[in-house]
Amino acid sequence: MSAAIETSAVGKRYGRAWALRDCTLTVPPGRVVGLVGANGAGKSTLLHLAVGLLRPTEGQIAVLGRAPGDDATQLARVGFLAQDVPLYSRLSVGDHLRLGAELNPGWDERVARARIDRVGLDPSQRAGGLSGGQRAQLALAVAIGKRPELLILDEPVASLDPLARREFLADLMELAADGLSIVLSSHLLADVERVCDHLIVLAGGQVRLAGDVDQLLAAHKVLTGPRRDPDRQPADQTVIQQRHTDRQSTMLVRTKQPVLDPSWTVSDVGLEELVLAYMAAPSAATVGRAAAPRLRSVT
Amino acid sequence: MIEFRIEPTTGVSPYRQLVHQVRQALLLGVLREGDQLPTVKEVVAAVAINPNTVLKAYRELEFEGLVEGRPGVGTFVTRSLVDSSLAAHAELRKDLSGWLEKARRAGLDDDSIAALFESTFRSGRNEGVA
Amino acid sequence: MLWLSWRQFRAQAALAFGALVIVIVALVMTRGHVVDTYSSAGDGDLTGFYVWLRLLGTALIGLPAVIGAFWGAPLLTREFEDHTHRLAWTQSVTRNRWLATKLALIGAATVVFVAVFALVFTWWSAPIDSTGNRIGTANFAQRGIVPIGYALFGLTLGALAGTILRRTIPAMAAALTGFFLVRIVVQKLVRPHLIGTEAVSTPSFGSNGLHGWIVSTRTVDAAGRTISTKAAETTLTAACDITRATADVDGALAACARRLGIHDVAQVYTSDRFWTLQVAELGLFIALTALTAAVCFWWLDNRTS
Repeated sequence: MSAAIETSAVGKRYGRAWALRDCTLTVPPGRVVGLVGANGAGKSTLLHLAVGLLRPTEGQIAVLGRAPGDDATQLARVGFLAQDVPLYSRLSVGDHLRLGAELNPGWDERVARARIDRVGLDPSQRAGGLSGGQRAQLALAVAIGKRPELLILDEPVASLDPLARREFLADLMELAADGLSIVLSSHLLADVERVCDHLIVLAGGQVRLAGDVDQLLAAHKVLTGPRRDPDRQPADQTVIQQRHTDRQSTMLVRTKQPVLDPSWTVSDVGLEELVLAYMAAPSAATVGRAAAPRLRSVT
Repeated sequence: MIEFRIEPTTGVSPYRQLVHQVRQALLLGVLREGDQLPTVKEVVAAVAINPNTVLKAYRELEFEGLVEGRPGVGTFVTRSLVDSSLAAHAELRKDLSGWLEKARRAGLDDDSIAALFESTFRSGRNEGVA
Repeated sequence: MLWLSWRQFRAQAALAFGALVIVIVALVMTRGHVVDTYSSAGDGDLTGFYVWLRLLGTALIGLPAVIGAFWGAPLLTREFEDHTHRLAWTQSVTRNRWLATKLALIGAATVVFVAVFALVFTWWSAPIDSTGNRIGTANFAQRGIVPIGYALFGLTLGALAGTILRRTIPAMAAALTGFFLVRIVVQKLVRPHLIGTEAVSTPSFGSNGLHGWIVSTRTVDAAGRTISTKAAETTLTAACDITRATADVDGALAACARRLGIHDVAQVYTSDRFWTLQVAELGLFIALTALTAAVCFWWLDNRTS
């Protein structure tokens, strides 16, 4: 089964600034992928490349095995929910379903209707008059009504109240349980921790970290112990982040081997801590002694 | 039917919390032999966590012999913990009381005892993980 | 896609065609009076309310630019400004089909709207035109079928401006400016050479009795060489002894010119060539429409969001 998204040194430039540079990723299918990073890190750019709204300046990107947005067949396989949930404010809820039916040969009216009914939306109400949560649900209904294989969402819950956010995420998880591959970008790490089993961390237009959450967490450890020199760490440990007081050193390391030095207290790392460390770390090459050329998928 | 709750702030991973809650339910008799666990879809609809987390929890419970997955039907409880665990608990409780007495006679206060337990517990777990 | 395009366009269409119905009714009902005014029994002078109706012709001249600004430019800029293109372009229709359907629908509405307006107005103005000429004046642009070409061009120019500039107000401004620029250039520089003019010999210094549009004239001597009017005057006054004291200077000049074989050659579009010129200019603007649309599609495809 082809990867959900596969990129090879893909980059996008606007004028002189690179929004995304040299990104190489392989996102396996059947996952709920969290794309995290600060505002301006390149999340939207990457997602827009994946749905064909943008074309890469360099490199390649393949979605479900084919170039994005190339033709009607490819467009039908990928559902998209853009940032701030754009809808036609003068069209009603029912009109939006009609839009879905007219523009998508593979439209399943029952699925879309079921979602609308479940959320309690009135088909005759104008989209402009809906609340944030209702808009998100309507857009979701339109996106999945065409029965896509992959659903991409750009910060879908950022502006929703906590209840609407929880309901939306729960609905997404139900879709994931049915086998839909999902990629969603978010800067709310708590949500990512709950719902995502694969993670991509972007910072400054580059991929800092990517991989299955379980594997990433298993491969990193927090070491606490008496103050010492990070360059003395064994070669198979890459120091991602370090803090020192005059007596104590704390390091986040990436390693495949167990930590044998008894002077260290070894603990697991939480997802939020891990993501923040990679977002804050300077460009990969300068971290720690064993300069890993790129911090990518952890195998 | 059991209802799950995920507490994100406890530092315990969601899948562990699910496993723990099923075990609790079995201990308390809320779940009995033959009862069906909620489907993966039902759990994620209620609790908004990744379906793989639920699958992992159910797999672990199956590995422990507590439940059994029947394809196309659901996941069912195969063993009750009510009786067997009580006996084991009593034994362990006695051992634990003895150890606690020894620790206090050695001069450890509450915090030292807790720290000693934590670090031994963790290192015992890590040995299995790394 | 057709349904969506219609759904988005129908309010504007209702407004435009509603206004058109009122205009057509007014023209049809008043035509009788126009005929009477310009018949042999009438005085050939329309007053009052009819002055307003004649101004519909001016409206017809501005209409293509308005269509470009209000139908063409917002076609894309509304979507870009609301970000709804991110919704529309991620359904199962390609960007090309999306644009093509929208342009086809609004293009068809434009053709019908302008054709009805222009042809009814031409019919209504026929009595007025029979006393003057409509090929050589600014009236050419508000009669017949050329307004259809102008309007289609205006529409696609507006769409192109919207594709490039992406904001409604700048695109509208660009569409209006660009349209009038092209129109003026065509009117002044291209139209005189669009279909071949006829060379007609006319008497110098007299009335020429031509019906139509005199694009240019020049004075020639008996041998056919072009001479300037000044040179002709000098030659004639010398040859025929004409001074300021002569009784009828113009008459004398004219008679003298006849004797010496000096005459004017006028490049003319005669009135009977009105429809030929109309078709030619319509063809030109349809070609411009196609070109503009092609650039629009290219830009959409290659300069993505």
